[in-house]
Amino acid sequence: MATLHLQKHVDYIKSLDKKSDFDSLVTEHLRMSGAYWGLTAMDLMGHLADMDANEIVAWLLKCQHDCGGFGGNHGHDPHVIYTLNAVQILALFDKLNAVDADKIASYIAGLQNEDGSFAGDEWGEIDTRFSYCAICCLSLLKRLDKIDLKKATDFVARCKNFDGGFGCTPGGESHAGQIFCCVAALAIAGALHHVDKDLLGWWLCERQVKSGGLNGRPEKLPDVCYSWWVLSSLVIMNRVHWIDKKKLEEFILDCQDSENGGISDRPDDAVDVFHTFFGVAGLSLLEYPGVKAIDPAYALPVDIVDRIFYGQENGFTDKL
Amino acid sequence: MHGRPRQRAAGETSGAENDKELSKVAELQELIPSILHNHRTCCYTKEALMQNAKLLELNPEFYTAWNFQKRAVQHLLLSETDEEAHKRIVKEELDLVYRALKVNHKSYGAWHHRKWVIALGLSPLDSEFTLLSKVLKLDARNFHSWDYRRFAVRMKGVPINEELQFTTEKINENFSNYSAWHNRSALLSELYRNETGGKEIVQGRLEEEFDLVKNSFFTDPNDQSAWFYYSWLLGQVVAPVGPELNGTWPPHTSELVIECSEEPTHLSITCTCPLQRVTSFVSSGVPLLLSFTEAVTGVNNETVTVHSEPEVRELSKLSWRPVGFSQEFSQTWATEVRFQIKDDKSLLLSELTNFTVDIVVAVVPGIVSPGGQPMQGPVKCSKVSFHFGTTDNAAKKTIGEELMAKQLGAIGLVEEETSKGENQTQIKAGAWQVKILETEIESILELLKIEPDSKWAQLTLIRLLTARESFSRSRSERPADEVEKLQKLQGLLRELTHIDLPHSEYYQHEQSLLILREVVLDLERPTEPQHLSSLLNLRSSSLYTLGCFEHFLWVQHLDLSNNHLRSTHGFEALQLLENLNISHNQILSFTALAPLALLPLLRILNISFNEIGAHPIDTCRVLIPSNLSNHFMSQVLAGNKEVNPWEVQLVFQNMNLTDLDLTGNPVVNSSKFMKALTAVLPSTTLHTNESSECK
Ligand SMILES: [Zn+2]
Repeated sequence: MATLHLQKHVDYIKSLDKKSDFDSLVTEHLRMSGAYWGLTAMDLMGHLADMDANEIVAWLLKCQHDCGGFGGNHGHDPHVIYTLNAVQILALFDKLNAVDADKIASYIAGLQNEDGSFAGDEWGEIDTRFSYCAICCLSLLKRLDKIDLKKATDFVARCKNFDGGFGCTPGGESHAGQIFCCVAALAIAGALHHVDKDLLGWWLCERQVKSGGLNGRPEKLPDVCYSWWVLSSLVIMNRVHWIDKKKLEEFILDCQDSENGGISDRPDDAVDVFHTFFGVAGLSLLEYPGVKAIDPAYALPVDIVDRIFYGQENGFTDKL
Repeated sequence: MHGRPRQRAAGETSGAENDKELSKVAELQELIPSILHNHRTCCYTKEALMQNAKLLELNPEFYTAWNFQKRAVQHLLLSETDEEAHKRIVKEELDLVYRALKVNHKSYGAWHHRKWVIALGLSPLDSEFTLLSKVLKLDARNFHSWDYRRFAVRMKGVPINEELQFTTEKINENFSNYSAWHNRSALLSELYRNETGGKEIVQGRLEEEFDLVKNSFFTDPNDQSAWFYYSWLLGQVVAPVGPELNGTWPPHTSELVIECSEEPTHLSITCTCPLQRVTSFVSSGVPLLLSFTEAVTGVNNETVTVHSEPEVRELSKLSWRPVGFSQEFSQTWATEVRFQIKDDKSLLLSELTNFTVDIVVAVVPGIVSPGGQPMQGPVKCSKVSFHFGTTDNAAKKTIGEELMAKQLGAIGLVEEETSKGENQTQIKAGAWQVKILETEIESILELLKIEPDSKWAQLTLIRLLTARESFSRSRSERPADEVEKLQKLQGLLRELTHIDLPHSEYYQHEQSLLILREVVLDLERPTEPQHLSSLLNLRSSSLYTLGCFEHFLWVQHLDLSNNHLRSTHGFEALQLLENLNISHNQILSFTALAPLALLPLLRILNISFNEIGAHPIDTCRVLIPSNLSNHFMSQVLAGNKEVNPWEVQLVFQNMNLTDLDLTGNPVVNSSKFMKALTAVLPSTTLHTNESSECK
């Protein structure tokens, strides 16, 4: 029976910061996301304190532009994805007051279009991923009143498909990653009545393949990152018991690099911080012992979210 | 990173590969700072552009480089006035995108850049379709390519039928192309929306679709693509196109007796209805409930009219509210008829003691689903008699027996006279649907002969039979036959649970709905009047979910003990519920009980022997209105000192329970939780161990 090599993953994430190999260079434009994945995984595993909060926040603040948005790294252009990730990192460190929330909110509000959709940045790419980033980020900043929330959720609803899933734009094919973005955005906006929970729940539970892993679309290979996209959507809709949780847990544990730490997309593939985070986050939703509870919509540890919205630090079972 | 093999030890990579990677590292280390510098300083020289192109070919995901590229294009287009030069600039851009896509055909940045360039309108669209057929040949499931195709189709104005033909070609190349099936569903939906040629054309098209999709799963019965499409098609045939009214309280033909109660400012209300249970309760007003087949909005004084004969002013201005968490949409809508009570505990009524009320729903359009579908079906109404005064229990019983004796026909909703014509066409439509269902059942049975273990065929058969069942219901079948059919379907679902164990809870969920249909049939059977109490006993019924709420609006006492329920979502429809026993189920958290806070009459709640407090993940956490879902309750919290944990306050603060039984839940061992509960429910008797369990 495989177990989680928690300490190895912690060491793996700590080692990433110092690397300057090919992998770190081709991902340098999304270092903000990388930091969010790594830090949230560290927090879920109870090791956030190992990281230097001041140093990270100082770097993070250098990635903010005058418009209020954040780039994926120092010197890179602002984008709604990295703006959300920056706010999530600040939330992890309880440093949300280090930024001007109104300024960030006005950057995001400026990205909303007349039809309710959001552009990712000034260049106008439209995608429901950006709707999620905008809604999640503004909610964490308690600034949702700065956008037309009704129009925003109506746009997401227009991206609903014949299978109950959601696509990037109206007419776009359902995809588990996209479904997470849309379902979570609707959950945060209190508009889950747009979701056909039984139909979508059926489609999502059919993402589980023989090996126990989950894929993102029909007839595709399983991948650890879908342990998050599919599972979080099922948890939000209270349908997670429609899959075999034990088999999924085994699949995720099988994707660990038991020697050097880290988790990969599939067994014996190369590990990366993205899949390490989604593997750990998946295990959290599966209630794996020793991993903190994660909030399925905000993609942050439950205690962090409760601290922001209720000033209460302890996760559900810790409250006992 | 996807699909890259793990290198166990550093020595495993070949020398050549290593050298290649090292040279790329050196290149990137040189390019990145210089490109970021050029971007910052708006330097669009030939050299700068070449460097940027090189970077994008190495890493098409480097989004800032695409932004630089766009600024450069804008700059170049402005600096040139010649149209040919403009075309050349655009051509070079498209070539760059092409090279980037060859490196990574799933690059969001590259595909968006292409759209951005094409939208400038300086390049022919035909070449885009050539590119598309190439990339879709390489990867027929690439959703970026499909997305780009939809963009190009829109730009060029390709007719729907032509694009539909393209999906047919793709499907014929390979049935297992979910992307093509998806696109087909979107195109057909659009086609149906625009179809003005009448229902027959749409029906004919649907029949053709069935043939296409059947071809596919007869070829490979294990491929999911066709089955999901088939399931959608089936929905197109049998599901109503818009919401319908499916229940009311008081039910049609019921008699209400209204008196002043012992409680000040409260009324005592007794409702009797032929073949239905007697409901009797105390409330501040008479509730009127409407239940729909799906969530709707737009229920108000215009879409719902309440006529009284003779006229009663209390009924003239009712305000309807959605019952549930949404302020906008709900499957159940409620209002309350208030009558003024005088000091001597008599009702202040305009001389009237008896009158009848007609509730008519949707005379005018305005009731719509979240998808914007208007309410369908003939105008429905419910006729109710109100009686005021001091009737004693004996008199109530007499009314009940009298009604029983009348043996009125089918209960439930009646259709207004005016809609008879419409009703005729409905029955005709039903005939087409039954015909399709019969044909399809034949086909699936055929497939099951060859593939007896195909879970997809099995599940589809169950759905087809269930659909046929609900169509034949309206054709007045004998209840005993119906029960037998429902039980047979449950048997099929049980088999499926064994074939496909990982999804067993999904099938058990489906099975629960069939069990409930059986319960409903049972309720509709004539019973002795003394058995007509308002208790619904669903103890140990193998329920994983509760549904059919429209049939249970009258329930005051509900026993759901010893089932497998995980939440109480939907229970808010049971507005008359006073006593709920949901002990020995699988409730994991307090938030799973949040819908119960919407039940104004609930007094006794037994949630003993569930799993509250045993799980770190709360699967109902974001399903309910809270600060997390941006329903800020600061005004409530302000007048009250904050309760930790917040879930306790959120769920229980508005409940008026006399008894709450929590025995057997791990949460009772937490003094923090119990303290919070006592604070929120000061006048409720809490039961936390077996010795003090309430009866
Ligand atoms: Zn992945």
